[in-house]
Amino acid sequence: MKTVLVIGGGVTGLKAASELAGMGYNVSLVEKEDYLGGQVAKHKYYKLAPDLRLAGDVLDPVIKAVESNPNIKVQKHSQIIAVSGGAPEFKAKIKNSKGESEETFGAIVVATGFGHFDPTVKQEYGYGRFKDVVTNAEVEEMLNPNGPTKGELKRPSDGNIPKKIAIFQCVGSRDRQVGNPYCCRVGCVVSTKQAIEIKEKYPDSEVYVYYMDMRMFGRGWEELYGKAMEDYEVIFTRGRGAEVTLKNQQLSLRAEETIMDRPIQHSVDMIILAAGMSAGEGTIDAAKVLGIKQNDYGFLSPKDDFLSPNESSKPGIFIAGADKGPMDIENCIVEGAAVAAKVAGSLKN
Amino acid sequence: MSEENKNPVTEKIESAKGGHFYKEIMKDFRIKESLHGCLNCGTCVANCPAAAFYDYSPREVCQMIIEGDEETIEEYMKGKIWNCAQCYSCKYRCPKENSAADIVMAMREIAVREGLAAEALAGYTRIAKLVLTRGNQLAPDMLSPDAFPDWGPRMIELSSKKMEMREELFEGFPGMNVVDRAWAAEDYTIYEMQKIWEESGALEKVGTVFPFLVDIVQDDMEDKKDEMEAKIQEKKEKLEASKK
Repeated sequence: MKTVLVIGGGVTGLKAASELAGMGYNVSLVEKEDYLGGQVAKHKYYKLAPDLRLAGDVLDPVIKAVESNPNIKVQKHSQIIAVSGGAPEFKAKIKNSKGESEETFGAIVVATGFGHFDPTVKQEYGYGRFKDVVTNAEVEEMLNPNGPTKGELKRPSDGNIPKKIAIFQCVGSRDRQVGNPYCCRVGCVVSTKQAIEIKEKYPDSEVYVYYMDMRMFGRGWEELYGKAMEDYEVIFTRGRGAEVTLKNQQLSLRAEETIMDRPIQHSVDMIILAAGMSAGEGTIDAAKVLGIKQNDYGFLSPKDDFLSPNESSKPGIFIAGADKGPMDIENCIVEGAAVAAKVAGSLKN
Repeated sequence: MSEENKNPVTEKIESAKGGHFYKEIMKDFRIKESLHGCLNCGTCVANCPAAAFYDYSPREVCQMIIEGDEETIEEYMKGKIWNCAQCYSCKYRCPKENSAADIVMAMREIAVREGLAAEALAGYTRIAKLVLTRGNQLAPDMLSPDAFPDWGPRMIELSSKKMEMREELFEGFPGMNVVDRAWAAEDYTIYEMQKIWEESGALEKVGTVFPFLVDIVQDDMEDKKDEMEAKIQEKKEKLEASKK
């Protein structure tokens, strides 16, 4: 029986590994960090849209399915540094703290995922200059009771709970200036979810969302958007956050209220940047090591977007999840299962 | 539908796009580089110093060109586009990399060429005259405190003594102790500049906005002509001699 190499221990890789093991294949799961769960674990995602269920409710069973399966060998803190050969026999060099080793695999699944866009390059937003300008990932960590602030939303500058909060949509997405003209696909619903969480925890706070379009295409997303407006009085302003300055120790933002046709300035206590998704470091490394095709933004290109969505440009190497482009957790799990089926089919031939 | 039954509010006139001014604008090489559709996100307006104070919106400029309505374009070329400060903030912030500032620049050139700019630029007559006849844009005399009440009484007092102050300040610097211009350029320099404007056709363009200024400049040149042409001749001969 051939062994399958799964690169990446995020939700997609975990799901692919457990599905393949369930079909009787041996799986070697290689993860560069010393924990499983990818970005969900790294940034301590607290609740998931649209049901506001705990992220752990979803992630823990996926991790457990991998760790409890004797057919899966998990190698944390490890990286693939070179791959030779081709389908159906790949030789991969795996490097970890103990040294290098070489193993043979019948197929490779690349599930290296995404990275959170670093908003430092959008200098006009002041991220990195103004302490109270934070990212949506940082807010997840704060809202999580196991996070650095024990579940409280606190201003990094003085530790106080902010009263007026503005959320900027499309930071590093739909933006040619930073080379990311694509939509991040999750920012709208994540911000709406965070706005609701904040209003639920601090009913006296005011939450303003500055957006271009609210793209609520997922299951239950539009309903969540309605709930945010009707039940939680979150204020959605149509106009992209344009600039942040500090006036008398208070954050001041500029935007255009595009429905009323007027430029506005707004003083707030905290600004959350809904930073989008970019190709993860692991994805860029994997593309280099494996020699598979990337698109203009660094994400991995399927052989055919419609007909072979989980096959890379090279036979025997499969791709799945957010390394192909922005994707939510729900769909990453679907992708993990889909790629497992494709791999099993290819190994049978 | 008969003419009488048309609703003047809701009716969109099909033939409005593609008029003369629209075609002239689209012919300009800058437009293709400056307009890649518009998300209507408002980033440009939020950053625009002109939008904060005047009836001007870079987003509206982009939308107007996309719609291409001839009447609206004409109206803009006569008025709103002249409120842009040409700071290019819109260009460097627009997530679509559009540049309303470049569109405005192209439209201004066309407006001048098509004779639509006279009214909007009427307020700049004194500046244009000073540039064309003295080689300066602004003179201390033009900054009358009456026009700037926010300067306060101290400035009114200082303004009344500006000639004395400049004489004292620029003692030993001939040409700087004047108030009818910022500094005095040499006659020869001004004449040379005027000749360049005349030969290059710039003066003719100025004439489409300020027709009387052409006469003033030409009179000014006529007055100095003999003396200056002799000087030019002298310089030419000197140059020839140095070549040998």
